[in-house]
Amino acid sequence: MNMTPVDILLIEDNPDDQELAKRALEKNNLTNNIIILEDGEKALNFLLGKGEFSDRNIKDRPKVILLDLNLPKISGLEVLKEIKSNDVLRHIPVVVLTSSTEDKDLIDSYNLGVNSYIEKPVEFDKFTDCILSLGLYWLVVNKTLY
Amino acid sequence: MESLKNLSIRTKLKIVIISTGIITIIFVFAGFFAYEHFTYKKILVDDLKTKADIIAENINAALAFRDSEDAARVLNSLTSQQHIIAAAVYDIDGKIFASYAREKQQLIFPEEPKSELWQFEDNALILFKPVILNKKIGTIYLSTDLFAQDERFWSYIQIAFLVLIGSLIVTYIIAILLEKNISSPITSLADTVKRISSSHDYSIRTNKTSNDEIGFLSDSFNQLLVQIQENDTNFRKKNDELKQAEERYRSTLDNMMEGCQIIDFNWRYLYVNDAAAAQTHTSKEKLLGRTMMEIFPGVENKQLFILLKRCMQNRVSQRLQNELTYNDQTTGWFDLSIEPVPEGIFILSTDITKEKQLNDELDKYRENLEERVSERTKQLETANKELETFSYTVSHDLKAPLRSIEGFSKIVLEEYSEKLDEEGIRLLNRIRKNTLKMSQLITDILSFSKIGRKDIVKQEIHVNGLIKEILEENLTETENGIIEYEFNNLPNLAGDRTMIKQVFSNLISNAVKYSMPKEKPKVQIEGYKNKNETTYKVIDNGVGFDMKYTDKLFGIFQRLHTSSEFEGTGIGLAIVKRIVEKHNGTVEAYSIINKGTTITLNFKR
Repeated sequence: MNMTPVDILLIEDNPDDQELAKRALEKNNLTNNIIILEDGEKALNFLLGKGEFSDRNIKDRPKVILLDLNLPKISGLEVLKEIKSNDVLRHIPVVVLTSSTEDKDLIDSYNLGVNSYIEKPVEFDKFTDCILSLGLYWLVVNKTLY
Repeated sequence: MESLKNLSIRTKLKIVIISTGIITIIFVFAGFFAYEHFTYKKILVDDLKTKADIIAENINAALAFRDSEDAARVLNSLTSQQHIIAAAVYDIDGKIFASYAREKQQLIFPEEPKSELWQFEDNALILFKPVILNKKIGTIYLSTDLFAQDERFWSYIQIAFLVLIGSLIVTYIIAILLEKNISSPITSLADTVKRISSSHDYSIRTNKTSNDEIGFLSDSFNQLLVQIQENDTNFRKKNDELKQAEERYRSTLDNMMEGCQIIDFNWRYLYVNDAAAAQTHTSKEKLLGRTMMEIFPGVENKQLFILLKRCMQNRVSQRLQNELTYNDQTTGWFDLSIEPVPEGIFILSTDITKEKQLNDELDKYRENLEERVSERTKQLETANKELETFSYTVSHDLKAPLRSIEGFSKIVLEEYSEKLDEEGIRLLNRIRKNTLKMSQLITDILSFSKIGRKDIVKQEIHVNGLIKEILEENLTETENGIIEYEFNNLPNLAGDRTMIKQVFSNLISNAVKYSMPKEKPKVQIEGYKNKNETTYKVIDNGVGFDMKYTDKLFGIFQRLHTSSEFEGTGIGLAIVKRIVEKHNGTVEAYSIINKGTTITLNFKR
């Protein structure tokens, strides 16, 4: 379906958070190539070219996946696990973006091989700065495999 | 011989004395007789010789003048000599000149012998003696019978007899007298002893009447009696004591609450106290003298019996708790102590039926309790888990809409500000301020609850270094420039580093916050060790607070200043208090308005 290369895959179920993130990214002109999916199943289908995304070229991997942990159906940690255990997907950097301050989530995420763990600040300004840093780093500074 | 032995001493004495007398006399007379016997011949011969001499003297004239009548006359004077059997005078020619014979019968006179001689012929003594008148003119012949001797003997015997009788009488008298001296004391001794032994009166003493062997015996007896009396007294005393003791023990045993039984080697009941009888639901009379097997048929097959036997045979103590089933099918539990005793075995039985019941109930209750405790624990664990989930939810789900409010209101401000008037913008800003406040509240609640749930990870904290870290991390440059710090050589503390860091962080930020308005804000941190405590003081010269409200100071969300004066949610000190208390310590606040505040932490070591 989507033939354009994707830079950022945002997996977030909260529409407000989706919009705020999108605005933050666009504000900083980081990219237009951002795909937002609202649940883990869809995200995995997208990444693996399954289900409604079966005609997608899966070799077109996003430069970074921004992952919220609180997702319906399949939880964020499970999606992380799937990604990191899949040979095709595991080299894609995954940044967990979550409002959870629970240590357990932090520990579990790193155990599963997350590349970065960010706690979403409530203040929008701080949130915007955070997204800016993220975007800059993973899209520009960091050298990805693909 | 036996009968002799059994004669009384009195008689024996008499016999001794008398027989001594008799024997002496016999010996004396025997001596005399012997002497006589051995000398009578000589005496006889001498006597005859003398007679012969006399005859010869008287007859030599007759013989010389051949006067046979004269001679016969002389010879006839021998009739007075009753023992002379015959006498004859021989003339020089050896012819019988004159003769005499006691019995008027013809006697044959022997031939004249050649020389002087005497000899004994059957029952007679003959003697030939020459008659000398310047020369031998004839011979005298005398024969005498030996009856003189016999007469003599007879006289002797008579005398002896008389003497014997006499001495018998005398010795008898002496015997009687002596007996008084010897036999009586002995008899009286014997009587006394008999009296003592029949009356058992050992205070009686024998009478010492003489200082001889009997006196010695009397003394010995008395000594013995003294000892016997002593022994008897002791014996009586001991006996009484023993009786008393036995009474005491018996009554103790009888009255004991515990059952006491003594069973002999044939398994018969020798002694049973009331308690024991009651315990077995029988009576003493039914038990005594009977065997265990009779009273409790089948007892040999019980475990109890094995132990009883072991005690009975191997003489070792045994102990067991035994359940007894009565005829009405009820049961009782008894703690039995089985001991070997000289008569057999002794069983001490304590009724533990009630205790056993109680113990069983206690066990049941304990089980129940454990069940309930584990239930409660599970409940608590569940509650804790729920709490964790709750905090997670709070941290996640509450914050999300906050983020949206904050974000979108910011966007409105940024992108639609020209469409809004001043008032609109002010109101919007007020909305935004509140979202931030709410966010802080949520964070504080989460911190506070986390502290309650977490366990302390104890380590040795280098407090000086900790303070330095806090000052570097938390203070802004402005604060750093203005505030004067003083802290030195703070003692180490054993505690959870993260939590303690939070404590000092909160306290220092408070101290800084409330001192900033002052001209020369100063924050001091002191610390020292006491015998059982480690104390820290955080001292500021800030605005202070009214001590009237001290108890509110550490309350959650309680504030003593308005948020326009000083920002804050009022959770900082509550968190401090919670952490300090978790470390077994106390926190106190002291303040003078406008002078400053001192927060004191005391940790027990």
